[in-house]
Amino acid sequence: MNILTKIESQISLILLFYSLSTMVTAQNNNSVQTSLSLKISAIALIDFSTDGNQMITYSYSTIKPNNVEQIITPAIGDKTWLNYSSIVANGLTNYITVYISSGSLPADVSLNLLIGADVGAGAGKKGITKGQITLSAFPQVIITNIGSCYTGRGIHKGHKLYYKWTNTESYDYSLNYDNGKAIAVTYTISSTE
Amino acid sequence: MKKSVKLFIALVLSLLLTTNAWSQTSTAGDNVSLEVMNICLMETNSATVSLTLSCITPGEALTPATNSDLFVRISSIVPANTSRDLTARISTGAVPYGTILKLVSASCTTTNSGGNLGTALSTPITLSAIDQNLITGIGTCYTGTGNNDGYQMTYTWEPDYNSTNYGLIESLSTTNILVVFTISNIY
Repeated sequence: MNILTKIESQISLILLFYSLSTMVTAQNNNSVQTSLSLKISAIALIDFSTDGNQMITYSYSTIKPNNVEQIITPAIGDKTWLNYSSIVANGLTNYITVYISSGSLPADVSLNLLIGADVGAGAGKKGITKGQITLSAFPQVIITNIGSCYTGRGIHKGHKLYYKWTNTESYDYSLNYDNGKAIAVTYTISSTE
Repeated sequence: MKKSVKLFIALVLSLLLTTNAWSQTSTAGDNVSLEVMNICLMETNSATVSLTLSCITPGEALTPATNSDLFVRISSIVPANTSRDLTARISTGAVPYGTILKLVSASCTTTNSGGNLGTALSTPITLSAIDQNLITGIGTCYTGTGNNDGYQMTYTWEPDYNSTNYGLIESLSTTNILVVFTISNIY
């Protein structure tokens, strides 16, 4: 029985060599398959671009790139453009909110914000604007339905922001600014996730 | 049991005899006949190719991603006046919507190679499920067997900047697709 098993295994070895040598003779290894791994990051980035040497200071941090803060004055007018980049997952969108994040306005001063439509630079599914809002300390949605897109970077790209003040004579901008009580607004881009 | 042992030995002998008979047919006579096989062998350095599309500047588009880690090595023997092409296609999976995957081959590395290594096409191909040429006119040659020998392949993955197509992009956790490299038959 043992001898038979031995011989059987020897035979199978020989058969294996035999078949292997036949394969080598064929030399038929003319294609090779490789694996490629692909990934697309979800993205929500926002920043300002300003026109000319305006009295505008703003913060942008790569640590919180979905969040920008801008100090505004009655002279600011419509010199600011909102730029953003967005990549969303299937079924989701991004949206942008704004609120007065620093300082407080005198009771008789109101601050309206007119948000222009995207001017058509960049590519993809840009957001839909709410038109006009009155700024407050509570976040309000100003642009919705942002899909995968980019507005382009710089002025005359993205959405134009137009600040409209009422009763500005009641608001001593320079005094407040010197006292560190300037009005600042923060824009945030978030996912509907 | 003894009978079966004999039977197995007979079987082995017959196999060996068949092999001998074959080699005899190709070398019969007084003349020694030499034959060079029509050979085509291929492998890669098994590099892991990973590409990620991302963006760090607000307002800007996704930044194209490139990877040049993959080398394809071949050995080729062709009959006179014939050549082969090296092609690539996607065999499994598809390039995500709103993005374009391109591939271009460099000329073969020179350190350990020899022979007619063909011409690498300078314009990248846009990968699809259909084979497209990367290198043409490969004759009798070898590329070398080192990790960085052979044809260096550069993948470039970028967004489609067409506005409608860009809007089709979706964020994606790591997904694998398979790319097949093929050396055509001689012609």
